[in-house]
Amino acid sequence: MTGPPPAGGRFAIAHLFPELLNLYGDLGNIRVLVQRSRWRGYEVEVRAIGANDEPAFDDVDLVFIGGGQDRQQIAVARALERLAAPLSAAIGRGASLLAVCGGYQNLGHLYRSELVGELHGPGLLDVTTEATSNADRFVGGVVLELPADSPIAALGRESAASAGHPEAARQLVGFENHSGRTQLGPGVRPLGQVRVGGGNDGAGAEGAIALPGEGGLDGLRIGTYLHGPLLPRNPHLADFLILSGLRGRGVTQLAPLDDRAEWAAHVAFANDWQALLRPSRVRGPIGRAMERFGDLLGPSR
Amino acid sequence: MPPPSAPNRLSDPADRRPASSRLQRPRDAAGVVAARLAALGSRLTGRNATSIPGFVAELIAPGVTARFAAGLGGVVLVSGTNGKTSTSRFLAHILAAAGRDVIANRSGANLKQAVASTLVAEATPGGRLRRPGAIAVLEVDEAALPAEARRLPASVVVMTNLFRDQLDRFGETDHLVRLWTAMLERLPPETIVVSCADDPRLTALVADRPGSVAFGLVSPEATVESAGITRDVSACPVCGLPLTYRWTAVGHLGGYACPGCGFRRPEPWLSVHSTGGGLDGQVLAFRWPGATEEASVEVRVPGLGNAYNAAAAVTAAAVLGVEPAEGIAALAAASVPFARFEELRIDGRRVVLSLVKNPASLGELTRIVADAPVACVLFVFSDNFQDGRDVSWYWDVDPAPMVRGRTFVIAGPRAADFELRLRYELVDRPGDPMPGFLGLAPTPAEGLDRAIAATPAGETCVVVSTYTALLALRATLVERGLAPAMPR
Repeated sequence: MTGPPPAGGRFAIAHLFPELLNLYGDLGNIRVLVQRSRWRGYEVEVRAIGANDEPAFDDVDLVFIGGGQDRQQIAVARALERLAAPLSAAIGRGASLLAVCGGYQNLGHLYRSELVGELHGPGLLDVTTEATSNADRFVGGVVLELPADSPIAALGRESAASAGHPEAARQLVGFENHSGRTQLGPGVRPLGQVRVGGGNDGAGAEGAIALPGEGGLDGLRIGTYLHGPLLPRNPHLADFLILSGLRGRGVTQLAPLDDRAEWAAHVAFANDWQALLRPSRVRGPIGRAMERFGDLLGPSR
Repeated sequence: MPPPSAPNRLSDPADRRPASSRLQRPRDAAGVVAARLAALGSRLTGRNATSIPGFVAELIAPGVTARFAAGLGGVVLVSGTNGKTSTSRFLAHILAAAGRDVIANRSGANLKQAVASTLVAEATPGGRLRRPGAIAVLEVDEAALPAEARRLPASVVVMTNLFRDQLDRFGETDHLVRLWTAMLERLPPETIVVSCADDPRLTALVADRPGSVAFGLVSPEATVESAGITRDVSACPVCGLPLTYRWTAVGHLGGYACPGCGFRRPEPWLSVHSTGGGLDGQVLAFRWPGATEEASVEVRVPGLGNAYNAAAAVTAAAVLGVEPAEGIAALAAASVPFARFEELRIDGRRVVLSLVKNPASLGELTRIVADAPVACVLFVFSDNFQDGRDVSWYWDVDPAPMVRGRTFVIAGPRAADFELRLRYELVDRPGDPMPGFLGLAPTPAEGLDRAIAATPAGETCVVVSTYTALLALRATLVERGLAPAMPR
């Protein structure tokens, strides 16, 4: 199974609106998808699709959309009106979709905030989002627990265990920074349950996932608030997105990679935030006052 | 053509208000005394006493900072994402060289309480200012600027630039722009705003403000692309259409124009270009109206970012009445602020400390270090509150040119993350060793030991670090007698 990859295999990534959505190290996600495919011998193409570009999703295996500011999200919503049909068609025939933060909100049915009003989306993820005040932002590290039957966890099990961190395959880690509160519809399930952090709405769930075949679309769809960026520290999720995208080309498994450095970074991040349980746990004026006070004392030698 | 000048309260003593009114003075005096005690306590417990004295003084005598500021000969607030400390340092130096009495805050201590500490430290226990005619050059955190501009009577506000930075703390940059817009609306008309012509956000901010003065780079003849992969500003701040750039210098700073509404880069009052240099410094050449030829000076800091900082300082000094030629000449002797290419000699090696805090500064540093003769690089990445807890920005720049053909060590709380960042650029197959990588060090101090050991005698080791880690590392060096105490 670890034999050389099919010669001349292609992997095509469409990066939506990089000129508008590039806030949270989003290029890191693209970099990881590119390198992990290249390391397996695939020839990778990254196609930037700007807000004014023609849709070019015909041979795309994976679609990525990142996070941006409220003002940019208006332009994104406008562009998505034009691109919704070809985008849905690409995912319908099996391309995977990863939407982070602002992109997660934009690809749902509705995003509502005081600044932008009501922005309708293509509903590629069955979610709706309402922004709260800036003071109630969820900001901090997040540790998610994946469901027991998660195919993402299954894909990472061996590699995490061989790196000495078997527990990490059941987790996703990342950084969140959002004022949106997202509600899931019946067409998606939570990506995971929050162990540290705020997540979709502070009630426990984070992100949204629809597996290939669900909702009449052959493509995997994932939306999440996690950035930091998301994929470097979560190699199992990166591989699950690549593998799902390549299924349309007849690929059923990926050659394993040496992911010790990835899991080490994953575990270091998870441990730091589990130990601190802040600032996501102590919110509002008390949390802010605690941080101010620490700041006031200055760094101790 | 002189720039608009700031009201000079030195020349008009009648306008000067007393430092504290008769009724307030005992209270202010008590505040000063309490602040002294707090500073003493803070130092005795091994802390750096930049914030607590101001906090205590304001607690006991609310408004004391503003009352002291009103008694000064002038207040200059310097803010922006990058270049605050260096610009303040340059400006304080130029003013001092021109014979002005200058008060300045300590490196990087730029939040509200620290600004208060600076001014309170300038008062006597009797509640009076020691040097009532002095000009205060205060570096202010960009999120704290609106409140400081409201409480302190600023004669000049210097805005260096606005980059994406510390999103976890400031929120989105658009949010900061809204705060600054509101601040400028409230700022008295006699306050002169000095801002960067090459930053489209700042240009839009000051567009309607008479009496603002701009600095910028001399437009290069050729098209130049900056080192960062992404530009923070792509849309016209006025109408939202994509901006077109003829050249960019650092991130989104450059020669921009909007094809839709006609918004474009204004010609700066003072412009600068670098005519050569290395890691040690560079020669800067300046142009301004009325100068018959360019004026050049050799400064001790490298990079385009510092060219901007020097231009900002010369412009602000001109607003305060110092001839540009005089200000430029003074730059030659300006010392380097904490960790901005600060040079140390350790075991016969040259060690250069450099701070990174956002994609713009990392892109700029990558370009400088890649071109310099460097043997070893130590990276230290921390994600404490003052650094910004989210350090994902280093994925938006390719830092690999800094380490190609060199050895390098990585340390700090986010060391494993930065190792990943470099792996994704440097290895052909996962699991392959990175060429030159000497491993993760358990602490920054051990990392430095390793990096120095890997640097041949007489050669250069560069330390690239985030703020709090660098502060701690430098403190260790002071303890070991390898670095002078925090330069002022």
